[in-house]
Amino acid sequence: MKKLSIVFVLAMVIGLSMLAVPAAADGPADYDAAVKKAADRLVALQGTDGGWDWIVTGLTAHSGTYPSPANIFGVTALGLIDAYQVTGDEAYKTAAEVTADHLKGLSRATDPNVRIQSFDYRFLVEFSALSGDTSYKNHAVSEWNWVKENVASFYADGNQETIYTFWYTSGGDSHGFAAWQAGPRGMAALAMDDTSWASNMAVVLAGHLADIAGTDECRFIGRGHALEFLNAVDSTAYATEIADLISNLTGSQETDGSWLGSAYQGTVQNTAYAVMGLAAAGEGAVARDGADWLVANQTTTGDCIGGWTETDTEEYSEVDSEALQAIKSVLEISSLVSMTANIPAIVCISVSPTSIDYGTISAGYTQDDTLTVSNCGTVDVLVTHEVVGDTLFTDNLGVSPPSTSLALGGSDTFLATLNVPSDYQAKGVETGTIIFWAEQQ
Amino acid sequence: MLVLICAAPALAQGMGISPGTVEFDVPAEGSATVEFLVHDFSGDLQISLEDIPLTVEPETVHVTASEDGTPVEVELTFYGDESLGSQVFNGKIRFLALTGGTIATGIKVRATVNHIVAGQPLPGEAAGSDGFSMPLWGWIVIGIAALALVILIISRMLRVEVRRR
Repeated sequence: MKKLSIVFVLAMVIGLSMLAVPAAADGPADYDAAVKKAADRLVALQGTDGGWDWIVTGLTAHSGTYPSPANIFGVTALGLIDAYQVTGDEAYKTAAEVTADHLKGLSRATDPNVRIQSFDYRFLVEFSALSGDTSYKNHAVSEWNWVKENVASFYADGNQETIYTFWYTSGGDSHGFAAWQAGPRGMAALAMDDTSWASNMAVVLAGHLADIAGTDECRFIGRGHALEFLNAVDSTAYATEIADLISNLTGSQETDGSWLGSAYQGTVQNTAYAVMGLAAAGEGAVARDGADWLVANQTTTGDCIGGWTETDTEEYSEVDSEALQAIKSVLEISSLVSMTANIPAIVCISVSPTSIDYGTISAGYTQDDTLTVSNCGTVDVLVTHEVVGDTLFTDNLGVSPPSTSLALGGSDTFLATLNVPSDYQAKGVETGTIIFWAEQQ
Repeated sequence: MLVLICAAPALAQGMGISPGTVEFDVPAEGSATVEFLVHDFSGDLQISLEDIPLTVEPETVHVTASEDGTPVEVELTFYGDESLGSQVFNGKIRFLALTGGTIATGIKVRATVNHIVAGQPLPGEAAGSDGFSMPLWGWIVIGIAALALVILIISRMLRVEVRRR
């Protein structure tokens, strides 16, 4: 009896746990909440210089090691702008402003050690729009023009193949890595209204997409960036490349919605950029699956709530922000107003002529007339008829065919034959009506 | 013998009704209102029901077509009848254009009317029929019971195995 009780309790536990799992998985992911949690984490980890530690595992605030890594200011702070746009929480805008002010104070023209990153340009432009302060964008454009002029061998318009090759080489002969650099730089150029440079970068990038190897560590991130960039430059001109990128990314998505990396953080980052690229291309369903994976894998307990980490793996501030941006990108396309219109089927017929006058007709004689029935509605109809009125008509008027189907815009003729019996006794005026009925087929 | 057949003069016109099919609920102890659009017609429309043993109002409605071709809304009220019980009526709502001529046009709108008596399920929704849906707690209980039974059987079999050894 004791064993039986244990078995029963065990069964209860297993049964309830089995029921609980699908209930949790079926619920729609709360993107807003995920964005807020991630942004709160970024704000908590931000340093006084507006930057972040790169590795933030176990941290609940900036480590105090300054300066913060120079290459992750913009890419991380973009998440703050996204969070502000989603939540309207001023704290995120204030935090973004700290980063923006820091970047506005940097100039390669005066300090040769400064390197304004692709995401920095984009962040400054976006923050300029957010704050209404054009000085941020002006600074970005000014720095970009300086670089184009003074590091012309790489950045002058027309030298995109050279800079691409540099990225390819510096990434360890990785076209995925080169695409990772080319896409964001192109997006930055677009943001700064340098469409010529962006267009020429797109030509070069498109020409190398086929070179991204299936084993390239950076292939998903590179393709995600390429997809976002080519779509932004000219979605019509690059329709073939865009379709290939969508197909490639969709085909390599794991069943759980992620894009697998060699390590956990790689998977998070792969997924983030694949989602952003697909969302930019309007591939809502597959992007949403990826965003769902990100939301499901966001840390919800302990000191690192809002970030992305696993046991024995590091957490990176940059990746936390990238995951946030990916979720927001899906939220953005989910916020698009879809339009639907219900056009009801109209059942309509018209008959010509509108009346028949058989005139004077003697008993024993037959007379017929032709009627045309037309379908004036928006659906196929079945037309039948009915004769009402005096018995002369109800008993002796034949209409052929008895029914007909009329396609959209179609018409058919009916023969209405009045056969007055030879022994017909009544006389005088008799009246009747042929009713043509139509109903949707 | 001579027979004179006269036709009253009438203008030719088509007539359209939308939608072409409808489905709606009518409470047996109340009424339901359904809206239709009349296209390209001016005059009186006679409303009647075919294979739907309910009352509809109005039975005649005057329609004046707008000059810009905008369809005219016509609202029909269907009254329930408690004596009929809960039933689904598949019939037609007939719109007959009364032009006074010898040729008339009419539209039949196919209608599925769910006539509902409170507390009385519609045919097909009764327990055990196709329309039955098990509530979640029911599946939970059945799932746990089935799982317990399987585990119980397995544990018994294992015990038998041990005894044999």
